[in-house]
Amino acid sequence: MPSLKNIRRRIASVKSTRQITRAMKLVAAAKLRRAQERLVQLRPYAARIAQMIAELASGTDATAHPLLAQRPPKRTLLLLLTSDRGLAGAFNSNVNKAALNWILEHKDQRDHIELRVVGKKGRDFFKARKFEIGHVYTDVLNQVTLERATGIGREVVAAYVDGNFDEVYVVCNVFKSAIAQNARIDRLLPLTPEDHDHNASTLDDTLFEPTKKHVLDAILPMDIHVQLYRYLLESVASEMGARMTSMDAATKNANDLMSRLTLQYNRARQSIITTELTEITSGAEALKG
Amino acid sequence: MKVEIVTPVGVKFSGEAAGVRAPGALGELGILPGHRTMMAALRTGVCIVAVPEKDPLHLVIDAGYVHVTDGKNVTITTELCEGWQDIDAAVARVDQEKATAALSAIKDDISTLLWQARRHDLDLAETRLRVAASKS
Repeated sequence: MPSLKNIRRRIASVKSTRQITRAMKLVAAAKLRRAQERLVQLRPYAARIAQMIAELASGTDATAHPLLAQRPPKRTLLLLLTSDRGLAGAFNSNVNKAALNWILEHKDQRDHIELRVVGKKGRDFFKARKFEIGHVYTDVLNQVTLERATGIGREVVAAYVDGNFDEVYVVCNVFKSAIAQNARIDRLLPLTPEDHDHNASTLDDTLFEPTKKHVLDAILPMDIHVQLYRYLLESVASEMGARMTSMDAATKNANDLMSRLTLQYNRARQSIITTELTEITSGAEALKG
Repeated sequence: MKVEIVTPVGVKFSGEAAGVRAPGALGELGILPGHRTMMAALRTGVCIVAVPEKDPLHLVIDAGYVHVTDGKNVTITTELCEGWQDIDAAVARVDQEKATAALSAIKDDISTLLWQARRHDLDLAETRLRVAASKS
């Protein structure tokens, strides 16, 4: 049986671990709430852009704009969104596995699949499997801004317009609840406008300034940026949700462990007292005799 | 007429206005009540909203578009919208210097993505300084 001192030391260490996991859980909860608020704020803007593109695209030839034109998918860009830090349950392994499966499934039908990764966890996963990574963005998920999303978006759009890629996919976590995050693979480019009833168009009598193409040129990249921004915010929400749940479990485990150790400690102490008492009484008995 | 400015961080302005001046892709656009239905691309610049019985509102606007419907509803959808209260002039000045230095360092190819990005930074910083100076 471990000595009393050893048990005491273990109880103290479990206690400090519990303090850390509890603090991490609270921080994750606050960050989750903030990410959700930003998702809500984004909604009217995203909806407006999506609707406008649907209306604009329904009246034009889909091949008229490079970001809308469907090309035979030969060269693909896969953008993987992971976090820089672990301790977030299955958050990173979910998307890493989804991306790996997608690559293995589709690499025979494509000439080339390039992987670009947001976050150190995705980078480490694919580096360990000897994959070539086109570009790594770090420090993104801990400080998501529209500017950052726009920067990544510009690079992706430029590579796509230059013809380096025929399609762009995003692999990311989508927030369902604090205990459920789903890995999802969405096509970012070419854009697929929502279905729109052409008869309901409000743009029939519209003056386009300077031209309809200019307006499309302005709106389509905005849509890419806003979609990326949304994916990043969804990822933050998922990461924080996953961290919250796993840190909650860790705190509970620490509590269990502590009560077990305390029990063990009390038993050990009791048995020492019992031994001492037996020794005293048997000593007294011996003196009497 | 009713003016609404929608950004990714929420609705920045919503209310009545006598007129709007917006930075169109090819030049300034003046929008008054009764304007015909229009969709116009915007570039980085100052947007001025004439609020009745108040000083006109000067706002920094980034890329986006303006949609005028029924001659009385104006919606500006933009990636960024800031009033002078949101702007730190000192930061904007540093940004301006950085972008100017970066631009002069890129001499050869002015069509690159990098050049465009720095040019955009410079436009944004200069617009911010203009709005910060207007204080209205």
